[in-house]
Amino acid sequence: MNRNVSRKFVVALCLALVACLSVMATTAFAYYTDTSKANGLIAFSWTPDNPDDPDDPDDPTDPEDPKDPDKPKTEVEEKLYGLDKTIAVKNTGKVAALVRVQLIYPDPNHMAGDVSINVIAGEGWVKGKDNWYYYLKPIDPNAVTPTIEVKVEVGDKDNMRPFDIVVIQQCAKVDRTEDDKLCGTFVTEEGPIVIEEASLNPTPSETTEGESGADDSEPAEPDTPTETTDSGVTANGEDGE
Amino acid sequence: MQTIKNLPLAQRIALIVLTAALVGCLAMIAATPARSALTFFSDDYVAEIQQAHIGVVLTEQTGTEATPRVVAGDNQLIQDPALLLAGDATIQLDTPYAEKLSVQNASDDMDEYVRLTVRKYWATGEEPEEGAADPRTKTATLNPAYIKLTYDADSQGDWVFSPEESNDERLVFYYKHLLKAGEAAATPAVTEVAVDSALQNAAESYEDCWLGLSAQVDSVQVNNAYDAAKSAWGIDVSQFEAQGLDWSQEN
Repeated sequence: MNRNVSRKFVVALCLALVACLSVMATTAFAYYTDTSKANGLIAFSWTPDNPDDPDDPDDPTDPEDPKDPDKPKTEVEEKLYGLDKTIAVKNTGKVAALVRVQLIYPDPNHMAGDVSINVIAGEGWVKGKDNWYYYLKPIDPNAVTPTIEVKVEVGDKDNMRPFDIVVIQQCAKVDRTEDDKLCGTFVTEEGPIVIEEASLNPTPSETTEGESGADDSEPAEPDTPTETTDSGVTANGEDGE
Repeated sequence: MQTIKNLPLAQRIALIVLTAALVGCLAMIAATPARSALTFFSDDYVAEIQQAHIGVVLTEQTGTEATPRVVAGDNQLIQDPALLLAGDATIQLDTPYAEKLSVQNASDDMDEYVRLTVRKYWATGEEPEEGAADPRTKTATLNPAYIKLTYDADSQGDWVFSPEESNDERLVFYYKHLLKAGEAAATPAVTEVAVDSALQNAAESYEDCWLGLSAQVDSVQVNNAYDAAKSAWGIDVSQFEAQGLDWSQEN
């Protein structure tokens, strides 16, 4: 009690001292200043004059381009069932289109929670060497491709972290090579891709990983075209639990 | 008091020192004479003290206008786009349009030193209706570097351009000379505005936007102008003396 009272007294004394010192501070100077402001806006608009030509580096799937009515337009139709989802591509444009789809997701090996991701491509879908799924036939306007199914199984829900499975789709105008093979230019820099040749067997290393992954390390993607047309059911049963 | 006697020595000494200091301060405050004591006045002598004001305004001369106009407030710059465009239907790329921004001393009797800050930006939004609030807002996605203003970058004329304070969005100019009461600056700081055609290669879309200009003029008093500028603006204007700025003239 004694100590408290004396401390309060000391604190009050210090505050009084500070107050006195601040009163004694020299006067502040203020200078004459003035300011004035104005602003204004003028309309401006610039649009490219020429329609996109095929060599233009712009994305050929640009849906905003009203200048070229022959540009194909496609959209992804995704349906979610819990952790699984099915992906289909619908042609929303006025011309037939070739499509390809890519799925991007983290490596299940590096994910917590014992996750396995299986991709089952429907009939007509082929997995290419470049990790894109190509649909072998052109899609007519308003038609929808068969689905690609993505099945996700989580062994350890408590430790699972959120992750995304990103779906990218690109479409291209239907074109034919000189030997009358279907091809399309999805990205201008890549040039035309012949659909049949895109579906060649993947490199041997990929196949091995796919078949021996008993510990959810690799998604069960179909490795050969033959398996794909069987809708990949066998691939699902092989691994990934 | 009992509590004081019970304190240990160190605390007692501290307490005594503080008390002494307090008493000393109080004595000094009391001893300083009051500065505004009026001790005697006579009814016959009355003094009037008039505080002077300094004032500065912005002036704009657009297109083919003969004389600059004073402008102040929102949406007052480039009020008449047709006057700026001088025949073009819309702003053409790489075409300079005459837009002279300058300052004028609006006070009756005080001279001053001034600086001009011009800001350029893009805005998006619909044209406002009569009487309604302006829905147009500055946008950060379009690049103001494509708006080119013509000005004297070498500070050869009447204005010093400050490159350190300037960037793609803002240009700062200091008027080199004294601006006498009622006078306007000898030459404008900014003379033309244009849009760079490099905009055609930009990734973002410049369709249906607004080109915005905003100008602000600041002035300081003549006496101790260098100190006034440092106090009011935080800028040491003596760095511009090498380019001809002279704010040393006093009343």
